[in-house]
Amino acid sequence: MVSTATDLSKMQTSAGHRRRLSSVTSIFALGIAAMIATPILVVAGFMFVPAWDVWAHLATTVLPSYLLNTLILVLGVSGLVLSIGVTTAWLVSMYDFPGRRLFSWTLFLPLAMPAYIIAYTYTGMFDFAGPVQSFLRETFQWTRNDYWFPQMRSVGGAAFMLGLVLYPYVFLVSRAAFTEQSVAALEVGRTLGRSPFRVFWEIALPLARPAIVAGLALALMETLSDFGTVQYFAVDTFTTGIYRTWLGLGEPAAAAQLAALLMVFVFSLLALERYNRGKRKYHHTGGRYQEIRRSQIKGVKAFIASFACFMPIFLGFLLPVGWLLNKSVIYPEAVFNAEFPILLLSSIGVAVTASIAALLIAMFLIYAKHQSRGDERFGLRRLSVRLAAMGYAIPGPVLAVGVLIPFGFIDNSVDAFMRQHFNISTGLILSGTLFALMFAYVVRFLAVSLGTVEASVEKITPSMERAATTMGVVGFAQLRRVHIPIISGSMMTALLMVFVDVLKELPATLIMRPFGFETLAVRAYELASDERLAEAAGPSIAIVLAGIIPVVVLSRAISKSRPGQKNQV
Amino acid sequence: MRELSISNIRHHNDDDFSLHIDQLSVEEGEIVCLLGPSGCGKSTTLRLAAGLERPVAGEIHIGSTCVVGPDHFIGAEDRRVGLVFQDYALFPHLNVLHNVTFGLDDIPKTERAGIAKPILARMGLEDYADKYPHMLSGGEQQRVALARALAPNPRLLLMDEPFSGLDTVLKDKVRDETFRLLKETGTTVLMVTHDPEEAMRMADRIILMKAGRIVQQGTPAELYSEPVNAFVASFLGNVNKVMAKAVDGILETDLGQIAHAEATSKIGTCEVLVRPEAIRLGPVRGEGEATAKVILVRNLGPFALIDLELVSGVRVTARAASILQPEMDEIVSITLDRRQIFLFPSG
Repeated sequence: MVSTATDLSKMQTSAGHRRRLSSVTSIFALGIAAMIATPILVVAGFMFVPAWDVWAHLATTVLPSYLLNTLILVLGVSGLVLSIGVTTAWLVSMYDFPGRRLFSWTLFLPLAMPAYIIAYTYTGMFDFAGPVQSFLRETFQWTRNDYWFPQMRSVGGAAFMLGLVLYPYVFLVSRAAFTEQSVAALEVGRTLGRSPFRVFWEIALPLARPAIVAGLALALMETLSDFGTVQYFAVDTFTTGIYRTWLGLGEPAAAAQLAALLMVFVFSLLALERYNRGKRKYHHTGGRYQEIRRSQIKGVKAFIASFACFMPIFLGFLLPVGWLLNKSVIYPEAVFNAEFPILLLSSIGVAVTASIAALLIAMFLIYAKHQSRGDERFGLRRLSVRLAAMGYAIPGPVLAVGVLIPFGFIDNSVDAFMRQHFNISTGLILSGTLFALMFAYVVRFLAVSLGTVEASVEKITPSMERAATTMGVVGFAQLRRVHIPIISGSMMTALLMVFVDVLKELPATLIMRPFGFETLAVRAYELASDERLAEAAGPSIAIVLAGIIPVVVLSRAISKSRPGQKNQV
Repeated sequence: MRELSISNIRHHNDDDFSLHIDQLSVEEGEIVCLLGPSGCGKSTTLRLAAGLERPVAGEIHIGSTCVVGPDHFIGAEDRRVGLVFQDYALFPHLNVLHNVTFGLDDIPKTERAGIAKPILARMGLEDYADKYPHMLSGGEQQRVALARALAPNPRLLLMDEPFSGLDTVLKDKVRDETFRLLKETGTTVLMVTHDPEEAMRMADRIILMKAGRIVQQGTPAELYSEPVNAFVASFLGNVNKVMAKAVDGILETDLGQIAHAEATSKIGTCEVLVRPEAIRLGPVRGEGEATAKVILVRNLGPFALIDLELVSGVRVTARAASILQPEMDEIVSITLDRRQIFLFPSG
């Protein structure tokens, strides 16, 4: 009896202890989520700060051209990514033609090419002084006024550049939709009197529409966030406007309000994507998976199909990469100079740190949520995960505004306090530090870690944990023997994806980096802006090479994901 | 009149599977079931008939039209055949009415609903015209799929495992309704199934396939009671395999002696197949009877399965009406129904 009583009291203390620990976990999770969400809330908050005079000024000067250019970009990119993405996805999923296997994953490659890099390579190739126009002039003995050539540095050129590197988003989702779709539905369509093309138009396309719209929304979110391309082409859009209003005009409030407006656009796209993703379940034809029987096409048709798949890869990847390689071969000393190793190290340094930080935070939030499945704390913790994932939707310049405003406020408050009480000026503690930059990266890319890790943690079902418990495997042993083996692959993927995203990130780094701190992306952009295109090639190649890694990981993951599809890439 | 005639078809795909059909036909108004284990080529045969695949060699006629011949191929869209799949493959973006009118493309828009509505009404779906597929139950979806296939008045209806998506209770009901409808409309049907019971319920004629070849064709009764080999016998129903010695028109088995015309001493020792219902149980009356001990009785409602241990130690399963089921450990006598005992000397 005595021992029972002590056991009972021990159990009660440990239960009480656990409860306290659990509420600490909840508060901590929510705290982290709140910190991550701060930049968004700050920017959103500026929507309610009246600044009519600034708006009146913006409305009469730059706002119309921002809106018009953004509209042209959105329409141009939509047309391009839809026509390229859907056509190539349909070809590689439904037909067999020379190179199909190769195309089905190399069509992802342009995703590795940051838009600002492709922008300056195309400028280098197709501008007045570039090799193409020079060749034309020499061949035909033309002078400047004898011919018309499309101007790369225009809003149309920007849309073309963005379309070439963003179509993989649409390709990705449409290919998944076409491979997932019920082959039976298409075959019934055939027996009901439809030609293969009309089956595509009347059945496959409507069925894939929610997926395609979701992919388009992602591509357009990237378009709205783009800074490097439009800045380089001197096309005025919201992102360049925010940058200029903040740094050029020194109007943080106006910049924040522009940012808020842009965020409204982005969140509407996000809502569109979510809505369409939800609709897919009603559009799923369900039932068993059948292997798609691709029909063989031969002759001229096969050539056209191969050509149609090759061109996007050529224009969006091979041509610019070839140009960059060519430059670095011609001017090796300009490319691989003393500066290059430093750039490489500092880039890798921030990317590794940010990806580890993002992974740790993501693991904490997801496990907090996972542990509380089915009890009253679940709602709060799920909210934390949702909040923390919001950053991915924010364009870099907006994020910079959202981080720098609160950090500046803290810096100034601390400085004022210290000066008043101790007569010391602390200056800027947070703004313009690596910590601020790292914070911005984590805010922006935490969603990537969260999404990747969460998907695999969700595969660990309560029954699996209970089964382990009944076999006496609990606590840390369970974590080591059940959880880690299941999620370790995704942890690596999460690290890798964030690493590459940070490496490519330009606008937030450009605005927030400590004075004199250079990364590959920043240096490539600066050199290109100074028309030192050959020198920009080195950092650019490094970024593109790194960018290929997640593309390969992604395409492998996708090829494995479809049941009933054997040995397909 | 023959609605479908397939002759001398040779076909193969990327794997080592090959299909080889000399002659297969479906008469007007007939329901023919292609039966066989998975991978036997029955679905491929259906796809060839539908025009979804092109055979390497051979001819296919639908009605009087040659749809496949040397250097001649008419695709699925021009064959006028109806197709119903296991997962129904309804178009989820179209409502029920538009699913059914999908194949009525040649008919003026205004007249399409007029054709579809009576078909929906006949299947009890008139209130569902505006609903979308995901709002329907499995049985309702199956009926819509059938209505859609029948609406363009096809010359031939092809069905690929059309009932295997349904649960057991619903399956019997839907199957009976479908059978009645197909017979009332005089539809010519070629249906694929892996379920022998389903084939026997639905078919006027069964074509049993194995490894890309037709093994036996005939009415369900013919296949059940006159199987051409051990594969047919055991595919259509359960069998006990017992060893026997053939001596001058008599098979000597552990279950007793059976008169059998083919039992010559030339065969010697062989295996015979005995259906469970061929083993009849009774009380032990006297000497000279074959007897067995009841070791397990499983009551399945209308009938019971009884596991018996023979004197030799061999175990067999018998089937009897539940009211006749013996007690556990009871010693029973055995008599055999000769018509349900099969001897295949060659294999």
